[in-house]
Amino acid sequence: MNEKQLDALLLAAAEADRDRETPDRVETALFAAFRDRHAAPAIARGPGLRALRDWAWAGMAAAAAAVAIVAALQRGPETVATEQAEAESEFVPLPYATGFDDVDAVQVVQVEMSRTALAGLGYTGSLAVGDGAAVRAELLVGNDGVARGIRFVQ
Amino acid sequence: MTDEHLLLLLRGGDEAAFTALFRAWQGPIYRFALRMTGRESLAEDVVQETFLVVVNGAAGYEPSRGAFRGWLFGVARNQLLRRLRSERPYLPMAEDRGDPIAPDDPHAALAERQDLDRLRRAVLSLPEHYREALVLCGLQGVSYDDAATALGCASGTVRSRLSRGRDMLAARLRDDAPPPVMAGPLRLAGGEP
Repeated sequence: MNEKQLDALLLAAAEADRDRETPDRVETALFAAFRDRHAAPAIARGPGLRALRDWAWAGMAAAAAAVAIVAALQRGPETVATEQAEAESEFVPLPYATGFDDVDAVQVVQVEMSRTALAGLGYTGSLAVGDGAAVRAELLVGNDGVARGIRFVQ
Repeated sequence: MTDEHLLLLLRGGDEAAFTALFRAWQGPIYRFALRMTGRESLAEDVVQETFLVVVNGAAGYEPSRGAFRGWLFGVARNQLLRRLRSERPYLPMAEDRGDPIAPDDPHAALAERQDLDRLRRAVLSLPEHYREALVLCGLQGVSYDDAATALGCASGTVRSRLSRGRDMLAARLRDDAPPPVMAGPLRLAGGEP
């Protein structure tokens, strides 16, 4: 193969690739991460609506926890363990993933990840778990190594 | 508006600036990663990880060291190498679906597709240094200066790697050449002409 033929082949390959682009799901996840990143400082500047809403949720969560503790003390340890397990959320599919139907074997991997990384995975749902930047979660990973679903550990 | 100006706006939270940068560069970054690995899923990951660095403000970018596009390819390259090195114990799995065959002239389209497949296989077989230079400059049309920024070397080094990469590619394509096509139909010995 001479130089001219190689140039022609490289040109044809570049031309054939011209329309190859990242799937939309990557763009969706990145834009979610961008919004997450640039929404955060607004909370830090002052007690805006979102901050007030967060405090309200925190207060309600604390009240609910207090009620749960009193109820648990009245019922005994076995009931408490069962209800803790049930308190974990169901696995929800990640926006990137193709869902659960095309995998025949999965593994559950426990992780602790930042909310930004979570948004990078494509998860844009509301996060009502955890009290800091890090979130504890379990990932459902298919036998192809691709994460398909996530659930949050209380 | 230049990439560098868009980056300044993006750092201030301007989503339109991020949109413009992403739409301008996601394709080239994706194709770079795809032709370096032959794997669509890995190429998607590389785009995502590269632009997450941009989302977080592109803190490592210094205009004095070169254009933003060169730096962006460099980030993608680092993500790519990190992934490839962490996966080295595993066999690479080609998952590129290739190009669709044009329905109007399927024979010519099939021959062209086979040529492109041979080229892509040969590119994947090149040593990393030569493959990077070839994919960036030979396939993506990246300038020597931007490629030098991306690869962290002098532009003269990029030129010499590209030249050596092309020589190796041509040799591998010659070795992998398909048998010549017969001009006419097969005839059995002693049969009717």
